[in-house]
Amino acid sequence: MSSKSTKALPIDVLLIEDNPGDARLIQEILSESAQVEHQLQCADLLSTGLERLDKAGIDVVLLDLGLPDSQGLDTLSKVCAQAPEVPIVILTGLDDEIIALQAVRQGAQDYLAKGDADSKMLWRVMRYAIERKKAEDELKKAHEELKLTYEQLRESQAQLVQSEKVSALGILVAGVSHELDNPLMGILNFNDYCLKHTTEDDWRYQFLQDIQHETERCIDIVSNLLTFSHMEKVGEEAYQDESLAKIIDRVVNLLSYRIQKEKVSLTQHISENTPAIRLRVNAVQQVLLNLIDNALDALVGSQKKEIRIEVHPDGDFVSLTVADSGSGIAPKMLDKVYDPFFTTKPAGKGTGLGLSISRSLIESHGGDITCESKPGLGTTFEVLLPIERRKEDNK
Amino acid sequence: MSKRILVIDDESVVRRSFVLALENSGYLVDTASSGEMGIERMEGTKYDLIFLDLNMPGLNGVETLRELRERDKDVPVYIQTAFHAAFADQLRQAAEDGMDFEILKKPLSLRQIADITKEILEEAKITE
Repeated sequence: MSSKSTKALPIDVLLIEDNPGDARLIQEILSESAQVEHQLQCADLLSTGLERLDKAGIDVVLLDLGLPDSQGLDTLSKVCAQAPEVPIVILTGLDDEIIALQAVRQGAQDYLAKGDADSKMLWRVMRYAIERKKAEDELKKAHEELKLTYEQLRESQAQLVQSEKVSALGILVAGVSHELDNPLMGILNFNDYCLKHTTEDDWRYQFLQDIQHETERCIDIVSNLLTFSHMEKVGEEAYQDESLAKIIDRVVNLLSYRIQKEKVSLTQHISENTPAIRLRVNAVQQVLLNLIDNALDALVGSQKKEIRIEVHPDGDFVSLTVADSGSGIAPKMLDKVYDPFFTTKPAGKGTGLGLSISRSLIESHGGDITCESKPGLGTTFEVLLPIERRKEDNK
Repeated sequence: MSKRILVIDDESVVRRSFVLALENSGYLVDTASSGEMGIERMEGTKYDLIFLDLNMPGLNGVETLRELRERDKDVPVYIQTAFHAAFADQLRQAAEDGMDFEILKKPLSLRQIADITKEILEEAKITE
């Protein structure tokens, strides 16, 4: 309702027409209707017309398609590109109906045969063009908004489904893990007892040792599953001030045997102005252990064996990156790496929970973990941890 | 006189693990398969150390702890569990009410059981 056409404000018409006779005719027809206030600007070249359009304020364009500097539908598309919000009415000769219809299909609002037009008709066509264009644009806008909303809805639905799945899985996993705890303790201890009462030269001794190792592996898996399912609260660990450099040292130390054995060159680049931050030391240690462990796995079979650990402040966060020169992750796998139980490692080498656990540990710090990878060149994981923690988390 | 240990756990696997771990330790190990049975055992016997499970049918670990603290305020009690999150509030309440106890994480190996037991009982001897 705020439009010029309904408010009887002067309508700005731009006529792009090279034939002086036709231009004069249109001008006369427009003036016949005294009750419509209007301003008419004329251009006899497309280029002049486009220049005029550049200055805002044109309400409707009357366009002849055949101009000295542009012909046919090309003329229309240039005007559309210049001023997509302005309605266009095509002026045609009597025999140009086919091309006029094509023009309407390509974005013109209407067409009018020059010889045919009387004042009433011309005004009606222009008014309708203005109103229709406005309605069209609003529809387009509403459609865009709807599309955006729909996308957001789909995204949050996917997240919801994912978190529902994970939480249902968590409950199941926790239940099963607890049920396994006691039997595993039994196997471990009864076997240990047999081991104690078997001499090393007994041919069965080695098998008992194997049972022990495998049972310990099971216990580790169950313990990981429990951490994953949040039943055993890592969240109960208190926050304390700690430098990431110290945590890195401890973890690298823990893995030094493997790093040396596999001839990996691990370098640390820790920016001196990195502040100590409040964090759950064990949780962050577990994440880092997991990231470096993964990096080492990625380097198996790689020519270049390098891991680069970098720490530097980044705005309100401290950024910790672990980059390897390994095999990389295929793009289509990239968004799956945090999915629980997703693993590309051979059976027995990974539970597929490491990154899933890592992500929830980092998120519990109010941080974020992201991954970039180029197949054949390597993978970089970046962990962002907030420097300031909110008060309520600092208990 | 030999020190006496009481293991209260509804899982025979756990009870037997303690018996095996401590069989040549010189300590005497009694077992009870429920909180109720554990408290019954305490009626006639003074224990030097009690291992207690949390998740049991009947009286659970925290309830059993309250009962046994009425009979013996000083005996060290080690609550062993794989998950204390589910009982976290009850445990916190018990601690606030002045009940002494420690938490042990299951599963425990024979060596861990033997080491922990020795540590607690030998340390107790020193402080006596």
